[in-house]
Amino acid sequence: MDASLGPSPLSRARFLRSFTHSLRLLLRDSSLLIAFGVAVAFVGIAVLYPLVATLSRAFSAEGAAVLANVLARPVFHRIILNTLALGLTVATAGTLVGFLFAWVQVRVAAPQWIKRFIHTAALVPVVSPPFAVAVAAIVLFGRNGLLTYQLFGLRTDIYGLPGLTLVMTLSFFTVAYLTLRGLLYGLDPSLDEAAANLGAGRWHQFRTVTLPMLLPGIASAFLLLFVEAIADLGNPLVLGGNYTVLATRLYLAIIGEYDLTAGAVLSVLLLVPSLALYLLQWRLATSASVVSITGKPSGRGRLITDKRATIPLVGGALLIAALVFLIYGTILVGAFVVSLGVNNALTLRNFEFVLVGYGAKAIIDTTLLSLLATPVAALLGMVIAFLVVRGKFHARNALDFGTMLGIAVPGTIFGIGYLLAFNTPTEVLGITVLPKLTGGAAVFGGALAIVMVYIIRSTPAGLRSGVAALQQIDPSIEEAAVSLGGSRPTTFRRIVLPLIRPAFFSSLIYAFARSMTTVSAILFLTTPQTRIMTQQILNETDAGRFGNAFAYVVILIAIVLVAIGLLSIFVGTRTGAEREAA
Amino acid sequence: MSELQDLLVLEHVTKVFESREGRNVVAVNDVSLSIRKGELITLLGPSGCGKTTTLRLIAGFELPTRGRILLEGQDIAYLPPNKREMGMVFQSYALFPHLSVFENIAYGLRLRRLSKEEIEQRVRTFMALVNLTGLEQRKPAALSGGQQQRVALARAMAIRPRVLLFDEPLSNLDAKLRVALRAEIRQIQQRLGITSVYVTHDQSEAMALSDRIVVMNEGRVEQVGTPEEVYHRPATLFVADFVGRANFLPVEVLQLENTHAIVQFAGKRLCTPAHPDVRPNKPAVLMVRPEAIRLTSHALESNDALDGVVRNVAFLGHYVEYELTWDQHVLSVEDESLPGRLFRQGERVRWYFDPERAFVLPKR
Repeated sequence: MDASLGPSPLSRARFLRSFTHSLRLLLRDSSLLIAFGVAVAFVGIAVLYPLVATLSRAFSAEGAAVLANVLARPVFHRIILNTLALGLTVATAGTLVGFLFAWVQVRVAAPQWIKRFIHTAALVPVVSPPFAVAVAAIVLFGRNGLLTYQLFGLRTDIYGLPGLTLVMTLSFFTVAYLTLRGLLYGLDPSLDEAAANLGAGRWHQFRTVTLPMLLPGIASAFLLLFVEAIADLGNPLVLGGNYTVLATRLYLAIIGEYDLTAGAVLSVLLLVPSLALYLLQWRLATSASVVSITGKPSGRGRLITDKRATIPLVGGALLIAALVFLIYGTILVGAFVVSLGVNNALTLRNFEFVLVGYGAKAIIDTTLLSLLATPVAALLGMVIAFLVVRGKFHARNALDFGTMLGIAVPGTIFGIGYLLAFNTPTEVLGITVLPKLTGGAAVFGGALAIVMVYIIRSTPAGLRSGVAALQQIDPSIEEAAVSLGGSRPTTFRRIVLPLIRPAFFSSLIYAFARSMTTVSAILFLTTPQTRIMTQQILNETDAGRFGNAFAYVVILIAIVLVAIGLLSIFVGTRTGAEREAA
Repeated sequence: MSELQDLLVLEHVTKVFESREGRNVVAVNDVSLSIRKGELITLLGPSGCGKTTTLRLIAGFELPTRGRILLEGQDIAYLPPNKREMGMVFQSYALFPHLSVFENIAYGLRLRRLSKEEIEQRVRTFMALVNLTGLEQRKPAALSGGQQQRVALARAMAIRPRVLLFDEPLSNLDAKLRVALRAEIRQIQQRLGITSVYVTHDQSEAMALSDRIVVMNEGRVEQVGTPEEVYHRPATLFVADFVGRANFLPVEVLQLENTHAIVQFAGKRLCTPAHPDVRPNKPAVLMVRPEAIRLTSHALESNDALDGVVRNVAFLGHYVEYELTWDQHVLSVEDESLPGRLFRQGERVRWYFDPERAFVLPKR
């Protein structure tokens, strides 16, 4: 209300009335207030506080000097250009591959097994650490590559931009594929039919109807890939060679030079394009989803059967899918031989190395911490989604945005932010609210910080799927439950949660897979007491012990797959809402 | 009406929403109402008139910006909806899709921690009441629209609510089912004597169901009255126009006689019932319902009848709808449907009405 009119007695009375009104509203729904408080506190502490710490270090007097130095030196111009170039190539290639896969999946007449094959190929990268592909690529296409040298006698250089583009495209195109596939399924085929009815041929339909409708979705996938590419640390570390990008320079600043100020400054340089593009993507994605809802889908439309079109399309997709399987096949085989390409004798030594000593602890620690983070992240995602969709307060958009920062901000930046924010106990008004979370002598050997990072990286996906699910549910269902005498928490537990069970289930899976495979955000947070598998894989790769790295990857993927299987047994199918639909 | 009989009272209730652009929108504007124990009262009005917001204020899903809501004398304006003991039947049914019919109806009873036997017994009673016996284990998705709304009704009644609220419960059903179900709702409501507030934009539904109708427009109450009062003695021009169809004819008020007024209409003097606010020489209109107008053949001489030309004809079976042009006006007429009697488009006819079936209203 107009509380800002000034201190006249009348407006003060109005202000008081509106204030007591809001207060009564909040007190009446204390459960909502508590949920909101918990969500805000978590986002504030785990997401915003580290970012603020990074920013304030970067913009301190010391930081300003570093920034001036960075902006003046040509080597940093090179690094920034490298970063943008990598983002551009990966986003372009990834969007093209994603589009090809989605198009073949939805619009092309092809045998079902081919479609299933390419669909599986698109999903495999989700359950593996992002740089596993890079390691396999070195074995296959490197200077001594199985394919390039030993088969064709070529001395190729996989290190650098072309190699990075190849492996990052194959690791990240899944997101483009899933986005565009969803949009293509959502497109009303009667639009194409209308165009055909008016005399447009296949190609003309594609150019004048389908493509313009998909454009926001394509742009959104492109931007998402761009952000993911410039944020990635694992692949450039393994395969970058002399091609330095911001993320690797940042890593060097922290691990090599232990210069947190330089790290903070580089973080800001990386943060600005990431956030800007992410926001642009968000706007596009919202407009894209509006476009796709054009009346009821009326059947599937005609599939493309013209051999001149299907053969190159299906052939291209099959080739890429085959490449994906070749790479993961390499990982699997590489785990069971002494040194793939050099000594191909079968052995279990790699697994022996991984499963005893260091490796065992890393496996247990990583799995345990991921298991801790998974339910928290999924539940938090659902609760925040509920607040965002059903809440009536203005702060809900801020909460949504704050939560999404967890994935929009490159993981490396969170790594630095956590170092800056939590290297000493956190105090509010002289009272310690959090103990020291990172570095030496951190509480639980830094495990708490790692779990927090796992949670903030996974909650955004849960939030989005929760929002999508809740928007499908008529709010009067909840009102009915409340008017029958149920409190808000009872209604959430007994009505809402069962109805959004599929979304909850998928965010559990996502959170576990994401946590197990996270690299960039936790590299700075591991301590001798807490070992994380992805870091061990990186170490083994660095030391050239590819066999051990492959064994780790195989075990990691196996754990994720087993967890997904167990989850679907215990959560997915007992009384899932999907059964009610039948 | 004595205070004791008023179960639910709204006192100067106002609800202001803030629109997305930040403007204040007054959805409910100073509404005062008394709802008596055991009656069914309908909130009737066009979309956006504030009727649903008023219902949601009663249910507790919205908080009033100003004013009091009293239930049996106790102010409940800030009581959460789950503490109000009001059952609600929603337009979209709002059944819990993951629960069976039985569990849907039992939901409110389980929250009240009734014994297993009592829940069982009460669910069966209310399922029988709405003719659903045998469908206990079905899921809502396996029911027809009419059955779903019966479940919703049983679920809302099973908690023995102090007030039963209906939010356009029949508008998603087809016309025939709507008529059948509204008769059923009325029967059950009267049999159990449940105090009910019913929101609808369908005037025939409101007429058929209600003890009293509250006609709302732009957040305000235009009239509270029995269906008969609202139809034949509308309090405002809006009510006259919104409830049923009406012809508004120009008249001059000459003098008043008790409940009637002597008016000058088309060169003649008529004595017709009049609105209490009608005053001589103040602007007024004459409301004549389409079914009050009679037509005769132009060939027949008549002193009272006026000339008109048929502009449009719609033969609807049980009656015939005409549009007549008369002296710059277009009149709606509902004429009896008699074999062999149908005036054609362009035909000249004579029309007249019984002044007792007309009503004079002040303009503005």
